[in-house]
Formats: sequence, C-alpha cells, structure tokens
Amino acid sequence: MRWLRFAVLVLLASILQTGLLGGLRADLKPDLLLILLVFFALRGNPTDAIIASFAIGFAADLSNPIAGRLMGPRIISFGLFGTLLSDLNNTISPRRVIYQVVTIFLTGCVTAGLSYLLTFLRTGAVTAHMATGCFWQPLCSALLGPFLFWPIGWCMQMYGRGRRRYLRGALLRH
Amino acid sequence: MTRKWASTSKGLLFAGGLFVGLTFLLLVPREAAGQLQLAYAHVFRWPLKMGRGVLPARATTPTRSISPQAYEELLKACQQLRNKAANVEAELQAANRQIELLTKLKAKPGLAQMQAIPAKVDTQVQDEMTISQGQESGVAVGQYVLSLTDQCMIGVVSAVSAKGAKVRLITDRDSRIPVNIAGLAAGKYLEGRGDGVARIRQVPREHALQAGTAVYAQPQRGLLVVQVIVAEVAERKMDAEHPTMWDITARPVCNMTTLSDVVVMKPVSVR
Repeated sequence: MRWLRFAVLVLLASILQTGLLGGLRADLKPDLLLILLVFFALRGNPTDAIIASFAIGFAADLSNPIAGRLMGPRIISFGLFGTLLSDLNNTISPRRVIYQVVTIFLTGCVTAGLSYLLTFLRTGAVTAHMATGCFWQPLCSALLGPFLFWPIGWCMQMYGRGRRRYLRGALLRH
Repeated sequence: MTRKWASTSKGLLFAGGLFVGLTFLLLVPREAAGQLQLAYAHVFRWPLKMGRGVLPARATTPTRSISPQAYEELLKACQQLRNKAANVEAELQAANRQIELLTKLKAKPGLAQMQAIPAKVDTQVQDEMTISQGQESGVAVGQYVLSLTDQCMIGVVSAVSAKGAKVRLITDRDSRIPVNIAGLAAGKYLEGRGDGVARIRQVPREHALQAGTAVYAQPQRGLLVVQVIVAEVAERKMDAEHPTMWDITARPVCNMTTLSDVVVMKPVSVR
C-alpha cells in the first residue's frame, strides 16, 4: 500500500466532499469517503484495509461530522464495517458493477445507521436528515462508486503495470 | 506461524482502531473535537471556500437536530398553541354572535340612544342572578337589564361591585316595576310573586284583557327611553280586596332559566 498516495487521496476526497460537493443538495450528494472505504476494503489486503478503514473514518469525522464538536462515530462505523467487508471479500468478491453498487449501498446504509446510533447514544440528539444519510447518500454513492474505482486504482497504482510492480515488490519483501 | 502472526496483527490493528474511535467518542471532550475540526477547516480553508465554505459554518453553528425531550416539549407546546387557537376562534365566534345581537337590539327604535353593556350570567338563584359586568363597565343600581337573545326586560340591577352586579328579576318578591299594558292608558306596577310569575293589581274590570296581552316596561327618565316588552297576561281574576278590579297574573316572556347573555341598558349622558 502506498500510504502517502492514500493520505493525499483521502485528504483530496474529504476536501472535495465538504468543499465542492458541499453546495449540492444533501440527498444528491455522493459520499466520496464511503466509496474510498469500499474500494480499499475490496482491493487492499486485509491488514491495509483495516488501517485504511479507520483512517477514512477519522477523515470523515474530521471533515464532515454528523454532529458538530463530536468525533468517533464514523471512525468506529467505518472501521468496523470496512474490516467486515474486507473479511467478506474473500467469500463474496464483488467484481461485477452491479454487485459493487449493492455493496457500496449496503455499506453506506449500515455505516450511516451505526454512526447515527452512536451519535444519539453520545449526545442524545437525533439528526434531522436521517433518511438522507441512511438511504439517499448511499444510493448516490453506489451509483457513482464503481465508475470511480478505476481512477482510484490508477492513482494507487493497483492496476496494470503499477499493480504488477506492487505485487513484485510484495514478493521481494517476503 | 506467519498466518497466525498476521491474524494476531489484524486483530490488534482492529482493536487499536476501535480503541481510538471509542476514545474520541467517549473520552475526548467535545470542545477538543470541535477544535480539531476547526483546525482542519482553518488549514484547508482555501480549497473549502471553492465550494460554499460549508464546513466552518457547520463546525461553528449547532447541528440541526434536537433531543427527544426537546421534541416532546415542542410537540406539547404545539398542542397547547392549537388548543389556544381553537379557544380564541370560539371566543371570536361568540363575539361575532354578540355583535350581531347587539346590532339587532340597537336597531330597535329608541334603544339607539342608550348604551348597551353586554354581560354574561354568572349564577342564578331563584329570582336573582349575578352578571359579569360591574361598576368598572358603567353598571349602576336601578338600570334595566334585558335579555340579549329575546330582547325583553328581565329585571333591574339591585347591587353592584367593581366587576359584577346583582340583578333582581321581575318575578322576585321585592321587584316593582312601572309597566304599561297594551290597550290600557293608565300605568300600573308589575310586582313579583316569587314563584316564577308576577302580578298587576287594581286593573279596572272594564278592560277586557285577554291572555297573551303584552305588558311593557314604562320608559323612565334616565333609565329607559322606550317601552320594552317584559311579560304577557297569563290569567285574570277578580281582586279579592277590590271586587271592581282585576288581579292579573303576568308571565315573563323570557325563559329565565336558560338565560346566558344579558345586556344592561345605560342611558347615554348628553353634555
């Protein structure tokens, strides 16, 4: 895993999420960090996937928190479901676009659900946009996500020549 | 061995990540988390401004969410407001009805020169009732009281306080009101009998009075400027003390037991 590229990619995604996409309607706004989470959970090795999931959760809590002045719900939910998805990847391995759409959508629903639950347990506050966070945003992310997988993989050099170099490097390291 | 080490490492990583998340969630003060979010927004303020600068606004303004307790309180307040609005609407309807009745009353010739003070009947015990208007509204002892709905006289103000008054009904034993009988030139007195009716004594027998003949309250200087119906003849019989006279029993034309709105007639002072 190229962690520097990963950090830049996550930072870029979080800035895009809150900056450029912040002006969009909430129910039409895809969650770029969710797409990254699913990508790294599916394409990274299990250890990298765990670190990536928690790191993306941290970025999500930092840049786009559910409740102001609260961090933690997304670190936990992204970390938990990213790890789970990485473990399930050996079993289900969603390669077709439609399966990726379903995976992103379901992951978005459950991570948002757990985040809202943790926020409620911590603050006692119920967010006003639960339907948006639990359904519409995962749906938008699911529709957009598969089309971003290739550029993300290209950036991380996980495909083609870069991927081969990566695997060769991994073999050499062992 | 390698697989076992990798598995342990994964478990440790996951546990570590979860620990970090729980620490942020439960142990890190919200102010510190807020500072961290603000620091991020400050560092990346330039690219964030390319959008709408949403993050700083979100970080500094409270989230659009409410607690269940606050939601319950809002619901309760909403219900109270609805009830209040319904009550106000009912009051408005009652006021409109009262205005309509007062307009009808004022349309009666002569009564336009008098000020009508509308009042509610608070209590009624036998031949006396208390009303909701008193001295502060201009009510005074001796003023005539009319039924707002039936527009007939029912009694006279007998006592008055700041915010209420007592009305002696025409059927009360102490009531004595000067009246005119339709078709009879001379004025007489309508005296209460205390049993729900009144009587008029010493009416000459040459007058052939029929049951149902109207009895009017006489105009009184400073009290009433026009005749107002008060009762009707119910029965006539020979006066025991004066055989040449009728002893007439008169029945109020208003149903006193169902009265709810009355009006006190106050003469308009002329300067």
